[in-house]
Amino acid sequence: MSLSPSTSKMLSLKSSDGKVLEVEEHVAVLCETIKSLVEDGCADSPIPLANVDGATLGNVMEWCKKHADQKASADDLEDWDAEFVERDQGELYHLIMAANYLNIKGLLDLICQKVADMIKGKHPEKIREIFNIENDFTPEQQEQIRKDNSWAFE
Amino acid sequence: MATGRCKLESVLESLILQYEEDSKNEMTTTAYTENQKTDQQQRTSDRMSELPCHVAMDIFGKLPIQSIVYCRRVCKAWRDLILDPRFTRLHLKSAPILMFQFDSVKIYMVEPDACDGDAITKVNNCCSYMPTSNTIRIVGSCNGLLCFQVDGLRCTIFHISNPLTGECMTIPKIKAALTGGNYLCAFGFGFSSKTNLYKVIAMRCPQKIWDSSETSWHWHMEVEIYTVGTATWRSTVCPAYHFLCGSSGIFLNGTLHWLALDVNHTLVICSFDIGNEQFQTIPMPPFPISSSDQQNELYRQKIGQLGGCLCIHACENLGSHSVVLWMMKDYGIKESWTKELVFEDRRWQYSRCTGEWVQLIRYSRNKETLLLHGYRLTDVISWDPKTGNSRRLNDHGSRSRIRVFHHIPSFLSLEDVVMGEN
Repeated sequence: MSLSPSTSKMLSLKSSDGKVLEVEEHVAVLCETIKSLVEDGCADSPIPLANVDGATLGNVMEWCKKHADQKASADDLEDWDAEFVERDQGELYHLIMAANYLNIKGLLDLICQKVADMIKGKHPEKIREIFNIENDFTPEQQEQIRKDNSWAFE
Repeated sequence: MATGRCKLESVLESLILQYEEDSKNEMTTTAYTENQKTDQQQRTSDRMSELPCHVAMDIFGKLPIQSIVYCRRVCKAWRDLILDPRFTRLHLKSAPILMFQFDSVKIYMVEPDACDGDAITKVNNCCSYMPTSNTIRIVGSCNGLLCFQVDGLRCTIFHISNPLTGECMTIPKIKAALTGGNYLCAFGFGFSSKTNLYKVIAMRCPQKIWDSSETSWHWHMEVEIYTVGTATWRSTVCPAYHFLCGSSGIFLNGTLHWLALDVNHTLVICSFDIGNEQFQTIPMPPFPISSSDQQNELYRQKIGQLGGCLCIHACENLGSHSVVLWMMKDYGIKESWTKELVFEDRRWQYSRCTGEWVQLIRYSRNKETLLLHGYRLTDVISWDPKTGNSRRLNDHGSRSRIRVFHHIPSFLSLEDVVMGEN
Protein backbone atom coordinates (compact mmCIF):
# COMPACT_ATOMS: atom_id res chain seq x y z
CA MET A 1 0.00 0.00 0.00
CA SER A 2 2.85 2.35 0.70
CA LEU A 3 3.81 4.62 -2.17
CA SER A 4 6.84 6.75 -2.95
CA PRO A 5 7.51 9.41 -0.30
CA SER A 6 6.66 12.24 -2.71
CA THR A 7 2.97 11.29 -2.74
CA SER A 8 0.77 10.83 0.30
CA LYS A 9 0.51 7.33 1.66
CA MET A 10 -2.74 5.56 0.77
CA LEU A 11 -4.95 3.87 3.34
CA SER A 12 -7.63 1.38 2.50
CA LEU A 13 -10.90 1.51 4.40
CA LYS A 14 -13.40 -1.32 4.37
CA SER A 15 -17.08 -0.45 4.84
CA SER A 16 -19.69 -2.54 6.64
CA ASP A 17 -20.98 -3.86 3.29
CA GLY A 18 -17.52 -4.96 2.23
CA LYS A 19 -16.60 -2.12 -0.10
CA VAL A 20 -12.95 -1.09 0.00
CA LEU A 21 -12.05 2.56 -0.47
CA GLU A 22 -8.52 3.81 -1.13
CA VAL A 23 -7.96 7.17 0.55
CA GLU A 24 -4.91 9.36 0.97
CA GLU A 25 -3.68 9.21 4.55
CA HIS A 26 -3.72 12.99 5.10
CA VAL A 27 -7.42 12.97 4.12
CA ALA A 28 -8.40 9.91 6.18
CA VAL A 29 -6.75 11.23 9.37
CA LEU A 30 -9.40 13.95 9.58
CA CYS A 31 -11.27 11.09 11.24
CA GLU A 32 -9.85 11.05 14.77
CA THR A 33 -10.67 7.35 15.01
CA ILE A 34 -8.52 6.54 11.97
CA LYS A 35 -5.83 9.01 13.08
CA SER A 36 -5.30 7.16 16.35
CA LEU A 37 -5.12 3.85 14.48
CA VAL A 38 -2.44 5.33 12.18
CA GLU A 39 -0.53 6.74 15.13
CA ASP A 40 -0.62 3.38 16.88
CA GLY A 41 0.66 1.72 13.70
CA CYS A 42 -2.45 -0.41 13.31
CA ALA A 43 -3.47 0.94 9.91
CA ASP A 44 -1.63 -1.43 7.57
CA SER A 45 -4.28 -3.88 6.53
CA PRO A 46 -7.64 -2.59 5.20
CA ILE A 47 -9.21 -0.83 8.17
CA PRO A 48 -12.60 -2.41 8.88
CA LEU A 49 -15.30 0.17 9.62
CA ALA A 50 -18.14 -2.00 10.87
CA ASN A 51 -20.57 0.88 11.42
CA VAL A 52 -20.27 2.74 8.12
CA ASP A 53 -21.76 1.55 4.83
CA GLY A 54 -19.99 2.08 1.53
CA ALA A 55 -22.17 4.92 0.22
CA THR A 56 -21.85 6.90 3.45
CA LEU A 57 -18.11 6.26 3.65
CA GLY A 58 -17.82 7.70 0.15
CA ASN A 59 -19.68 10.85 1.22
CA VAL A 60 -17.62 11.21 4.40
CA MET A 61 -14.36 10.90 2.48
CA GLU A 62 -15.59 13.43 -0.08
CA TRP A 63 -16.06 15.90 2.80
CA CYS A 64 -12.67 15.02 4.31
CA LYS A 65 -10.95 15.47 0.96
CA LYS A 66 -12.41 18.95 0.53
CA HIS A 67 -11.49 19.94 4.08
CA ALA A 68 -7.97 18.51 3.84
CA ASP A 69 -7.35 20.71 0.80
CA GLN A 70 -5.00 23.46 1.92
CA LYS A 71 -5.94 25.66 -1.03
CA ALA A 72 -9.65 25.90 -0.18
CA SER A 73 -10.58 29.30 1.28
CA ALA A 74 -12.97 29.67 4.24
CA ASP A 75 -15.68 31.19 2.01
CA ASP A 76 -15.19 28.44 -0.52
CA LEU A 77 -15.58 25.76 2.18
CA GLU A 78 -18.68 27.43 3.56
CA ASP A 79 -20.40 27.39 0.16
CA TRP A 80 -19.27 23.85 -0.47
CA ASP A 81 -20.54 22.70 2.94
CA ALA A 82 -23.92 24.36 2.34
CA GLU A 83 -24.28 22.31 -0.83
CA PHE A 84 -22.94 19.16 0.83
CA VAL A 85 -25.69 19.08 3.46
CA GLU A 86 -28.48 19.36 0.88
CA ARG A 87 -29.43 15.74 1.32
CA ASP A 88 -32.38 13.69 2.39
CA GLN A 89 -32.91 12.76 6.01
CA GLY A 90 -31.72 9.20 5.59
CA GLU A 91 -28.37 10.32 4.23
CA LEU A 92 -28.06 12.98 6.92
CA TYR A 93 -28.76 10.36 9.57
CA HIS A 94 -26.08 8.02 8.20
CA LEU A 95 -23.63 10.91 7.95
CA ILE A 96 -24.24 11.92 11.58
CA MET A 97 -23.76 8.33 12.76
CA ALA A 98 -20.59 8.00 10.70
CA ALA A 99 -19.18 11.37 11.80
CA ASN A 100 -19.85 10.36 15.39
CA TYR A 101 -18.30 6.90 15.00
CA LEU A 102 -15.27 8.19 13.08
CA ASN A 103 -15.04 11.20 15.43
CA ILE A 104 -15.00 14.03 12.88
CA LYS A 105 -16.02 17.08 14.88
CA GLY A 106 -16.30 19.47 11.92
CA LEU A 107 -18.61 17.19 9.96
CA LEU A 108 -20.70 16.30 13.01
CA ASP A 109 -21.14 20.01 13.79
CA LEU A 110 -22.12 20.73 10.21
CA ILE A 111 -24.82 18.05 10.03
CA CYS A 112 -26.13 18.81 13.53
CA GLN A 113 -26.50 22.46 12.48
CA LYS A 114 -28.37 21.33 9.36
CA VAL A 115 -30.80 19.25 11.44
CA ALA A 116 -31.19 22.13 13.93
CA ASP A 117 -32.07 24.41 10.99
CA MET A 118 -34.78 21.93 10.00
CA ILE A 119 -36.29 22.17 13.51
CA LYS A 120 -35.84 25.90 14.06
CA GLY A 121 -38.98 27.99 14.23
CA LYS A 122 -41.35 25.02 13.79
CA HIS A 123 -44.21 24.04 16.05
CA PRO A 124 -44.25 20.56 17.67
CA GLU A 125 -46.82 19.22 15.20
CA LYS A 126 -44.70 20.29 12.25
CA ILE A 127 -41.54 18.81 13.78
CA ARG A 128 -43.31 15.46 14.29
CA GLU A 129 -44.41 15.55 10.68
CA ILE A 130 -40.94 16.34 9.33
CA PHE A 131 -39.19 13.61 11.29
CA ASN A 132 -42.14 11.20 11.32
CA ILE A 133 -42.16 11.08 15.11
CA GLU A 134 -45.05 9.52 16.94
CA ASN A 135 -46.69 11.68 19.59
CA ASP A 136 -46.54 9.36 22.62
CA PHE A 137 -47.93 11.81 25.18
CA THR A 138 -51.32 11.02 26.63
CA PRO A 139 -53.89 13.81 26.13
CA GLU A 140 -53.61 14.57 29.87
CA GLN A 141 -49.82 14.90 29.72
CA GLN A 142 -50.10 17.06 26.65
CA GLU A 143 -52.56 19.36 28.36
CA GLN A 144 -50.23 19.60 31.38
CA ILE A 145 -47.22 20.56 29.27
CA ARG A 146 -49.27 23.10 27.40
CA LYS A 147 -50.45 24.58 30.69
CA ASP A 148 -46.89 24.71 32.08
CA ASN A 149 -45.77 26.80 29.19
CA SER A 150 -48.92 28.60 28.20
CA TRP A 151 -47.99 31.73 30.12
CA ALA A 152 -44.39 31.65 29.04
CA PHE A 153 -44.62 31.65 25.29
CA GLU A 154 -47.32 33.38 23.40
CA MET B 1 -52.68 -2.56 2.12
CA ALA B 2 -54.50 0.64 1.33
CA THR B 3 -53.51 2.16 4.66
CA GLY B 4 -49.97 1.02 4.06
CA ARG B 5 -49.94 2.98 0.82
CA CYS B 6 -51.39 6.02 2.50
CA LYS B 7 -48.76 5.92 5.16
CA LEU B 8 -46.08 5.40 2.60
CA GLU B 9 -47.19 8.51 0.77
CA SER B 10 -47.38 10.54 3.90
CA VAL B 11 -43.76 10.06 4.93
CA LEU B 12 -41.09 12.18 3.45
CA GLU B 13 -39.96 11.30 0.00
CA SER B 14 -36.41 11.32 1.27
CA LEU B 15 -37.08 8.50 3.66
CA ILE B 16 -38.57 6.38 0.94
CA LEU B 17 -35.55 6.99 -1.22
CA GLN B 18 -33.26 6.09 1.62
CA TYR B 19 -35.28 3.03 2.37
CA GLU B 20 -35.02 1.92 -1.22
CA GLU B 21 -31.29 2.55 -1.10
CA ASP B 22 -31.07 0.44 2.05
CA SER B 23 -33.03 -2.38 0.54
CA LYS B 24 -30.82 -2.40 -2.53
CA ASN B 25 -27.74 -2.61 -0.36
CA GLU B 26 -28.89 -5.01 2.26
CA MET B 27 -31.21 -7.40 0.50
CA THR B 28 -30.35 -9.71 -2.31
CA THR B 29 -33.91 -9.94 -3.52
CA THR B 30 -36.71 -7.39 -3.60
CA ALA B 31 -39.26 -9.91 -2.41
CA TYR B 32 -40.88 -7.64 0.16
CA THR B 33 -44.52 -7.82 0.96
CA GLU B 34 -46.26 -4.50 1.50
CA ASN B 35 -46.59 -5.28 5.21
CA GLN B 36 -42.92 -5.88 5.61
CA LYS B 37 -42.25 -2.62 3.86
CA THR B 38 -44.47 -0.75 6.25
CA ASP B 39 -42.77 -2.34 9.25
CA GLN B 40 -39.38 -1.60 7.89
CA GLN B 41 -40.32 1.98 7.12
CA GLN B 42 -41.82 2.52 10.57
CA ARG B 43 -38.75 1.10 12.19
CA THR B 44 -36.36 3.34 10.31
CA SER B 45 -38.44 6.47 9.89
CA ASP B 46 -37.98 8.10 13.30
CA ARG B 47 -34.26 8.40 12.89
CA MET B 48 -33.90 11.28 15.35
CA SER B 49 -34.75 8.93 18.21
CA GLU B 50 -31.96 6.59 17.19
CA LEU B 51 -29.25 9.23 17.51
CA PRO B 52 -26.86 8.92 20.45
CA CYS B 53 -27.88 11.18 23.38
CA HIS B 54 -24.91 13.50 23.11
CA VAL B 55 -25.53 14.06 19.39
CA ALA B 56 -29.22 14.83 19.95
CA MET B 57 -28.24 17.23 22.76
CA ASP B 58 -25.74 18.86 20.39
CA ILE B 59 -28.58 19.47 17.95
CA PHE B 60 -30.92 20.89 20.61
CA GLY B 61 -28.05 23.06 21.87
CA LYS B 62 -27.90 24.80 18.49
CA LEU B 63 -31.53 25.90 18.68
CA PRO B 64 -32.99 29.17 19.88
CA ILE B 65 -34.69 28.86 23.23
CA GLN B 66 -38.25 28.94 21.91
CA SER B 67 -37.52 26.04 19.59
CA ILE B 68 -36.13 24.02 22.51
CA VAL B 69 -39.36 24.64 24.38
CA TYR B 70 -41.32 23.40 21.35
CA CYS B 71 -39.07 20.32 21.07
CA ARG B 72 -39.95 19.43 24.63
CA ARG B 73 -43.52 18.92 23.45
CA VAL B 74 -42.68 16.67 20.49
CA CYS B 75 -42.40 13.32 22.27
CA LYS B 76 -41.34 11.76 25.56
CA ALA B 77 -37.85 10.87 24.35
CA TRP B 78 -37.13 14.48 23.35
CA ARG B 79 -38.64 15.83 26.56
CA ASP B 80 -36.44 13.54 28.65
CA LEU B 81 -33.32 14.56 26.73
CA ILE B 82 -34.04 18.26 27.19
CA LEU B 83 -34.82 17.88 30.89
CA ASP B 84 -31.67 15.78 31.39
CA PRO B 85 -29.25 17.60 33.75
CA ARG B 86 -26.46 16.90 31.24
CA PHE B 87 -28.30 19.01 28.68
CA THR B 88 -28.88 21.74 31.25
CA ARG B 89 -25.15 21.88 31.96
CA LEU B 90 -24.31 21.91 28.25
CA HIS B 91 -26.79 24.66 27.58
CA LEU B 92 -25.69 26.82 30.52
CA LYS B 93 -22.41 27.39 28.72
CA SER B 94 -24.16 29.22 25.92
CA ALA B 95 -24.41 32.98 25.61
CA PRO B 96 -26.85 34.79 27.89
CA ILE B 97 -30.01 36.15 26.44
CA LEU B 98 -31.49 39.48 27.40
CA MET B 99 -34.58 39.95 29.48
CA PHE B 100 -36.42 43.23 29.05
CA GLN B 101 -38.84 44.28 31.73
CA PHE B 102 -41.42 46.89 30.75
CA ASP B 103 -43.91 48.71 32.98
CA SER B 104 -42.46 46.76 35.95
CA VAL B 105 -44.63 43.73 35.09
CA LYS B 106 -44.09 42.53 31.53
CA ILE B 107 -40.94 40.56 30.86
CA TYR B 108 -39.64 39.66 27.42
CA MET B 109 -36.78 37.43 26.37
CA VAL B 110 -34.58 38.51 23.50
CA GLU B 111 -32.17 36.09 21.87
CA PRO B 112 -28.59 37.26 21.26
CA ASP B 113 -27.69 38.57 17.78
CA ALA B 114 -31.34 38.81 16.94
CA CYS B 115 -32.83 41.91 18.43
CA ASP B 116 -35.29 42.29 15.61
CA GLY B 117 -38.95 41.84 16.34
CA ASP B 118 -39.06 38.15 15.42
CA ALA B 119 -36.68 37.04 18.08
CA ILE B 120 -38.57 38.57 20.97
CA THR B 121 -40.23 35.96 23.11
CA LYS B 122 -42.76 37.14 25.59
CA VAL B 123 -42.40 35.81 29.12
CA ASN B 124 -45.29 37.49 30.74
CA ASN B 125 -46.28 37.04 34.34
CA CYS B 126 -43.34 34.94 35.54
CA CYS B 127 -45.27 33.64 38.48
CA SER B 128 -48.67 32.43 37.40
CA TYR B 129 -50.37 32.94 40.74
CA MET B 130 -49.03 36.38 41.39
CA PRO B 131 -51.24 39.42 40.92
CA THR B 132 -49.84 41.27 37.93
CA SER B 133 -50.83 44.61 39.32
CA ASN B 134 -47.95 44.47 41.78
CA THR B 135 -44.58 45.77 40.81
CA ILE B 136 -42.06 43.02 40.29
CA ARG B 137 -38.44 43.75 41.06
CA ILE B 138 -35.89 41.39 39.55
CA VAL B 139 -33.39 40.49 42.27
CA GLY B 140 -31.15 38.43 40.06
CA SER B 141 -30.69 35.65 37.55
CA CYS B 142 -28.50 32.63 38.07
CA ASN B 143 -28.27 29.28 36.22
CA GLY B 144 -31.55 29.93 34.47
CA LEU B 145 -33.44 30.76 37.66
CA LEU B 146 -34.95 34.17 38.27
CA CYS B 147 -35.36 35.60 41.72
CA PHE B 148 -37.84 38.43 42.02
CA GLN B 149 -39.42 40.37 44.76
CA VAL B 150 -42.86 41.80 45.34
CA ASP B 151 -43.34 44.42 48.00
CA GLY B 152 -46.40 44.04 50.14
CA LEU B 153 -47.66 46.40 52.80
CA ARG B 154 -46.09 44.62 55.73
CA CYS B 155 -43.61 42.26 54.22
CA THR B 156 -41.47 41.60 51.22
CA ILE B 157 -42.11 38.40 49.33
CA PHE B 158 -39.44 36.74 47.25
CA HIS B 159 -40.09 34.18 44.53
CA ILE B 160 -37.72 31.97 42.59
CA SER B 161 -38.88 30.83 39.19
CA ASN B 162 -37.63 29.06 36.14
CA PRO B 163 -39.45 30.88 33.33
CA LEU B 164 -38.79 28.01 30.90
CA THR B 165 -40.28 25.19 32.92
CA GLY B 166 -42.93 27.35 34.56
CA GLU B 167 -41.89 26.26 38.04
CA CYS B 168 -42.13 28.87 40.73
CA MET B 169 -41.59 28.78 44.47
CA THR B 170 -42.21 31.35 47.17
CA ILE B 171 -39.57 31.56 49.82
CA PRO B 172 -40.33 32.26 53.50
CA LYS B 173 -41.39 35.81 54.26
CA ILE B 174 -38.78 38.17 55.54
CA LYS B 175 -39.34 40.35 58.60
CA ALA B 176 -40.48 43.83 57.69
CA ALA B 177 -38.62 46.92 58.90
CA LEU B 178 -37.71 46.43 62.54
CA THR B 179 -37.57 50.06 63.44
CA GLY B 180 -37.98 53.24 61.48
CA GLY B 181 -35.51 53.43 58.61
CA ASN B 182 -34.37 49.84 58.98
CA TYR B 183 -35.81 48.83 55.64
CA LEU B 184 -34.33 46.53 53.01
CA CYS B 185 -32.25 48.45 50.53
CA ALA B 186 -30.09 46.08 48.47
CA PHE B 187 -30.63 42.56 47.22
CA GLY B 188 -28.92 39.71 45.48
CA PHE B 189 -29.36 36.14 44.27
CA GLY B 190 -26.53 33.74 43.54
CA PHE B 191 -25.09 30.27 43.65
CA SER B 192 -21.91 28.75 45.04
CA SER B 193 -20.52 25.84 43.07
CA LYS B 194 -18.37 24.92 46.10
CA THR B 195 -21.35 24.34 48.36
CA ASN B 196 -23.96 23.74 45.64
CA LEU B 197 -26.26 26.17 47.41
CA TYR B 198 -28.43 28.99 46.14
CA LYS B 199 -28.83 32.02 48.37
CA VAL B 200 -30.90 35.18 48.43
CA ILE B 201 -29.49 38.08 50.38
CA ALA B 202 -31.05 41.34 51.49
CA MET B 203 -29.29 44.20 53.25
CA ARG B 204 -31.03 46.59 55.60
CA CYS B 205 -30.14 50.26 55.68
CA PRO B 206 -27.06 50.93 57.82
CA GLN B 207 -27.68 52.09 61.38
CA LYS B 208 -25.48 54.13 63.66
CA ILE B 209 -25.03 52.46 67.01
CA TRP B 210 -23.21 53.44 70.16
CA ASP B 211 -20.26 51.20 70.93
CA SER B 212 -19.81 51.50 74.71
CA SER B 213 -16.48 49.64 74.78
CA GLU B 214 -14.87 52.09 72.38
CA THR B 215 -17.15 54.93 73.43
CA SER B 216 -17.87 55.96 69.89
CA TRP B 217 -20.57 55.71 67.22
CA HIS B 218 -20.31 52.88 64.69
CA TRP B 219 -22.14 52.18 61.46
CA HIS B 220 -23.36 48.67 61.08
CA MET B 221 -25.60 46.88 58.66
CA GLU B 222 -27.94 43.98 59.18
CA VAL B 223 -27.81 41.38 56.44
CA GLU B 224 -30.51 38.80 55.93
CA ILE B 225 -29.49 35.57 54.20
CA TYR B 226 -31.77 32.85 52.95
CA THR B 227 -30.39 29.52 51.72
CA VAL B 228 -32.78 27.96 49.21
CA GLY B 229 -34.33 24.83 50.68
CA THR B 230 -34.15 25.94 54.31
CA ALA B 231 -37.05 27.12 56.44
CA THR B 232 -36.02 30.60 57.58
CA TRP B 233 -33.86 33.62 56.94
CA ARG B 234 -30.70 34.10 58.99
CA SER B 235 -29.70 37.54 60.20
CA THR B 236 -26.14 38.73 60.69
CA VAL B 237 -24.42 42.05 61.36
CA CYS B 238 -21.76 43.24 58.91
CA PRO B 239 -19.61 46.28 58.22
CA ALA B 240 -21.82 48.96 56.77
CA TYR B 241 -22.12 49.94 53.13
CA HIS B 242 -24.48 52.55 51.74
CA PHE B 243 -26.31 51.33 48.66
CA LEU B 244 -28.68 53.02 46.29
CA CYS B 245 -32.11 51.97 47.44
CA GLY B 246 -33.26 48.90 45.52
CA SER B 247 -29.85 47.89 44.15
CA SER B 248 -29.69 44.36 42.76
CA GLY B 249 -26.34 42.61 42.87
CA ILE B 250 -24.44 41.59 39.74
CA PHE B 251 -23.65 37.87 40.00
CA LEU B 252 -20.27 36.79 38.67
CA ASN B 253 -17.69 34.19 39.83
CA GLY B 254 -19.83 32.96 42.70
CA THR B 255 -19.93 36.50 44.05
CA LEU B 256 -22.46 39.34 44.11
CA HIS B 257 -21.38 42.90 43.34
CA TRP B 258 -22.90 46.30 44.05
CA LEU B 259 -21.68 49.86 43.82
CA ALA B 260 -21.69 51.36 47.29
CA LEU B 261 -20.18 53.93 49.60
CA ASP B 262 -18.12 52.49 52.42
CA VAL B 263 -18.08 53.89 55.99
CA ASN B 264 -15.65 56.63 54.89
CA HIS B 265 -18.09 57.60 52.13
CA THR B 266 -15.71 56.42 49.43
CA LEU B 267 -17.16 54.90 46.27
CA VAL B 268 -16.30 51.18 46.11
CA ILE B 269 -17.43 47.92 44.58
CA CYS B 270 -18.83 45.88 47.43
CA SER B 271 -18.73 42.13 46.88
CA PHE B 272 -20.33 39.25 48.73
CA ASP B 273 -19.07 35.68 48.34
CA ILE B 274 -22.07 33.32 48.22
CA GLY B 275 -19.95 30.43 49.51
CA ASN B 276 -18.20 31.88 52.57
CA GLU B 277 -20.64 34.81 53.09
CA GLN B 278 -17.85 37.38 53.42
CA PHE B 279 -18.01 40.98 52.22
CA GLN B 280 -15.02 42.43 50.40
CA THR B 281 -14.10 45.54 48.50
CA ILE B 282 -13.00 45.38 44.87
CA PRO B 283 -10.96 48.28 43.48
CA MET B 284 -12.70 50.76 41.18
CA PRO B 285 -11.40 51.66 37.70
CA PRO B 286 -8.75 54.39 37.74
CA PHE B 287 -10.98 57.24 36.66
CA PRO B 288 -11.05 60.53 38.48
CA ILE B 289 -13.71 60.76 41.15
CA SER B 290 -14.35 64.11 42.71
CA SER B 291 -13.81 63.52 46.39
CA SER B 292 -16.40 66.08 47.37
CA ASP B 293 -19.11 64.46 45.34
CA GLN B 294 -18.95 60.76 46.10
CA GLN B 295 -22.63 60.47 46.85
CA ASN B 296 -23.44 61.79 43.42
CA GLU B 297 -20.93 59.39 41.85
CA LEU B 298 -23.04 56.53 43.14
CA TYR B 299 -25.77 57.68 40.77
CA ARG B 300 -23.51 58.42 37.85
CA GLN B 301 -21.68 55.08 37.65
CA LYS B 302 -23.38 51.85 36.77
CA ILE B 303 -22.06 48.38 37.44
CA GLY B 304 -22.77 45.42 35.22
CA GLN B 305 -21.31 42.41 33.53
CA LEU B 306 -20.49 42.04 29.87
CA GLY B 307 -18.90 38.96 28.35
CA GLY B 308 -18.11 37.46 31.76
CA CYS B 309 -16.23 40.56 32.95
CA LEU B 310 -17.22 42.98 35.65
CA CYS B 311 -17.77 46.37 34.06
CA ILE B 312 -18.54 49.90 35.04
CA HIS B 313 -19.85 52.54 32.75
CA ALA B 314 -19.69 56.13 33.65
CA CYS B 315 -19.67 59.55 32.21
CA GLU B 316 -16.32 60.95 33.17
CA ASN B 317 -17.19 64.61 33.09
CA LEU B 318 -20.37 66.23 34.20
CA GLY B 319 -22.44 67.43 31.28
CA SER B 320 -20.32 65.53 28.77
CA HIS B 321 -21.58 63.80 25.66
CA SER B 322 -19.69 60.60 26.23
CA VAL B 323 -20.00 57.49 28.29
CA VAL B 324 -16.96 55.36 29.04
CA LEU B 325 -17.10 51.62 29.48
CA TRP B 326 -14.50 50.06 31.76
CA MET B 327 -13.99 46.31 31.88
CA MET B 328 -12.09 44.33 34.51
CA LYS B 329 -10.36 41.80 32.24
CA ASP B 330 -8.91 39.71 35.09
CA TYR B 331 -11.34 39.39 37.92
CA GLY B 332 -10.17 41.14 41.09
CA ILE B 333 -6.97 42.57 39.53
CA LYS B 334 -7.01 46.36 39.74
CA GLU B 335 -4.44 46.77 36.93
CA SER B 336 -6.69 44.86 34.53
CA TRP B 337 -9.34 47.63 34.37
CA THR B 338 -9.39 48.60 30.70
CA LYS B 339 -11.10 51.53 29.06
CA GLU B 340 -12.97 49.48 26.48
CA LEU B 341 -15.28 51.87 24.72
CA VAL B 342 -16.27 55.51 24.57
CA PHE B 343 -19.84 56.04 23.50
CA GLU B 344 -20.39 59.49 22.15
CA ASP B 345 -23.30 61.14 20.47
CA ARG B 346 -23.92 64.85 20.61
CA ARG B 347 -27.63 64.37 20.13
CA TRP B 348 -27.86 62.84 23.56
CA GLN B 349 -26.31 64.96 26.18
CA TYR B 350 -25.76 63.45 29.55
CA SER B 351 -26.76 66.21 31.83
CA ARG B 352 -26.00 66.35 35.45
CA CYS B 353 -28.98 64.64 36.91
CA THR B 354 -29.54 62.48 39.87
CA GLY B 355 -31.45 59.73 38.09
CA GLU B 356 -30.08 56.82 36.13
CA TRP B 357 -29.41 57.88 32.60
CA VAL B 358 -27.53 55.29 30.66
CA GLN B 359 -26.92 51.57 30.81
CA LEU B 360 -25.04 49.45 28.32
CA ILE B 361 -27.05 46.36 27.49
CA ARG B 362 -25.02 44.48 24.98
CA TYR B 363 -21.59 45.15 23.76
CA SER B 364 -19.12 43.35 21.56
CA ARG B 365 -16.15 44.89 19.86
CA ASN B 366 -16.94 46.32 16.40
CA LYS B 367 -20.53 45.21 16.61
CA GLU B 368 -23.72 47.05 17.22
CA THR B 369 -23.95 48.16 20.81
CA LEU B 370 -27.24 48.37 22.59
CA LEU B 371 -27.87 50.73 25.41
CA LEU B 372 -30.63 52.17 27.48
CA HIS B 373 -30.87 55.87 27.77
CA GLY B 374 -33.05 58.57 29.15
CA TYR B 375 -33.67 60.18 32.47
CA ARG B 376 -35.63 57.13 33.55
CA LEU B 377 -34.05 54.69 31.09
CA THR B 378 -36.93 54.70 28.64
CA ASP B 379 -35.14 54.42 25.30
CA VAL B 380 -33.36 51.46 23.74
CA ILE B 381 -30.62 52.82 21.53
CA SER B 382 -28.54 50.97 18.99
CA TRP B 383 -25.11 52.41 18.33
CA ASP B 384 -22.63 51.39 15.67
CA PRO B 385 -19.09 52.02 16.93
CA LYS B 386 -17.67 51.97 13.39
CA THR B 387 -19.79 54.79 12.01
CA GLY B 388 -20.81 56.41 15.27
CA ASN B 389 -24.44 56.33 14.10
CA SER B 390 -27.17 55.65 16.58
CA ARG B 391 -30.91 55.17 16.40
CA ARG B 392 -33.72 54.57 18.82
CA LEU B 393 -35.28 51.10 18.57
CA ASN B 394 -38.42 51.50 20.66
CA ASP B 395 -39.88 54.39 18.75
CA HIS B 396 -43.49 53.61 19.47
CA GLY B 397 -44.39 56.21 21.97
CA SER B 398 -44.13 54.17 25.16
CA ARG B 399 -42.12 56.08 27.71
CA SER B 400 -42.22 53.56 30.50
CA ARG B 401 -39.15 52.65 32.41
CA ILE B 402 -37.28 49.62 31.05
CA ARG B 403 -35.08 47.26 32.99
CA VAL B 404 -32.71 44.93 31.21
CA PHE B 405 -30.78 42.04 32.63
CA HIS B 406 -28.80 39.07 31.40
CA HIS B 407 -30.24 35.61 31.81
CA ILE B 408 -28.94 32.22 30.73
CA PRO B 409 -31.99 30.03 30.21
CA SER B 410 -31.90 26.48 31.47
CA PHE B 411 -34.25 23.64 32.25
CA LEU B 412 -32.92 23.34 35.78
CA SER B 413 -35.68 22.03 37.97
CA LEU B 414 -36.47 23.86 41.20
CA GLU B 415 -37.13 20.48 42.76
CA ASP B 416 -33.51 19.52 42.10
CA VAL B 417 -32.30 22.82 43.54
CA VAL B 418 -34.15 22.20 46.78
CA MET B 419 -33.22 18.50 46.80
CA GLY B 420 -29.56 19.45 46.34
CA GLU B 421 -29.80 21.15 49.68
CA ASN B 422 -30.93 17.94 51.35
